[in-house]
Amino acid sequence: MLADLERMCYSECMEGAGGGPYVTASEVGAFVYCPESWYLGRRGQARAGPAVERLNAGAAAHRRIGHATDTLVAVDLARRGLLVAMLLVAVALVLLVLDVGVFRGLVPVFG
Amino acid sequence: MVLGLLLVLGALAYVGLGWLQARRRQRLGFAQATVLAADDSALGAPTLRSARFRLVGRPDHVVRVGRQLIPVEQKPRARRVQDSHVMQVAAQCLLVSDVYGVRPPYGVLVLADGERHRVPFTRELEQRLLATLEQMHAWLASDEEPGARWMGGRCRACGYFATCWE
Repeated sequence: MLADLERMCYSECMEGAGGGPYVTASEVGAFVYCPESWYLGRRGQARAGPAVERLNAGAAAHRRIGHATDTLVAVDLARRGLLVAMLLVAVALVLLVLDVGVFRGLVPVFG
Repeated sequence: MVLGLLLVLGALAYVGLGWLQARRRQRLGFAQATVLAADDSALGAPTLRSARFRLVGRPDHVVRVGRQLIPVEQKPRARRVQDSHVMQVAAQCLLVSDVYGVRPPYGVLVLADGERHRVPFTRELEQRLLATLEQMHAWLASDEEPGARWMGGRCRACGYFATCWE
């Protein structure tokens, strides 16, 4: 399946400067699968039948994976924040246990 | 007392989230890696372009494992590894190597249900890839058509079946 961006890239890359057209990584897979279908796709020939539904389902699955990656990154960030917060709470707890006086207002923090 | 309770709750949340993350990582196919780029996500992924090989591409994920940059290709509807998948991953490895100057020792293919396959980027695979690229560029330069070859089920399932065979 050709990623949307790679498809967009065709217009830029079809006539790559110096040395002719570019091919995409997914095209390499398509060519190995079947040179003729790669060639027809490259020429912009429209697909027909259940293959189109499969392509759309594949694109939707890729979007779901992208969404899952976003969640993964966000939760990683949240875990890091949680760890920092826990460290602060732990430090506060230790200070309380040690009864350093700062929390009772007995020791002036400034001045 | 309150601080102690907060600490315990925080630790439980931390461990719980870690467990969920491990499962999510497993499904995405990169258990022990840091995600650097991801297509179709807010993180985004750069288009890798090699003028030398006249090749462009955007891996679904680029992850860091130790000091290595590893391209990851997702095939969420595939149940088994096909040669075409292997060559696509090899092309992504070549791009990572050419653009970042660090040769990935392997690429990763993730099939349906997060089944993960390592594709070693060997010199032999690279040679096969370069030969394939040469063939592709030769077809484009000649402006001739490769021509249809009957491949049974593969042809019947193809979106160009009618174009080739009817």
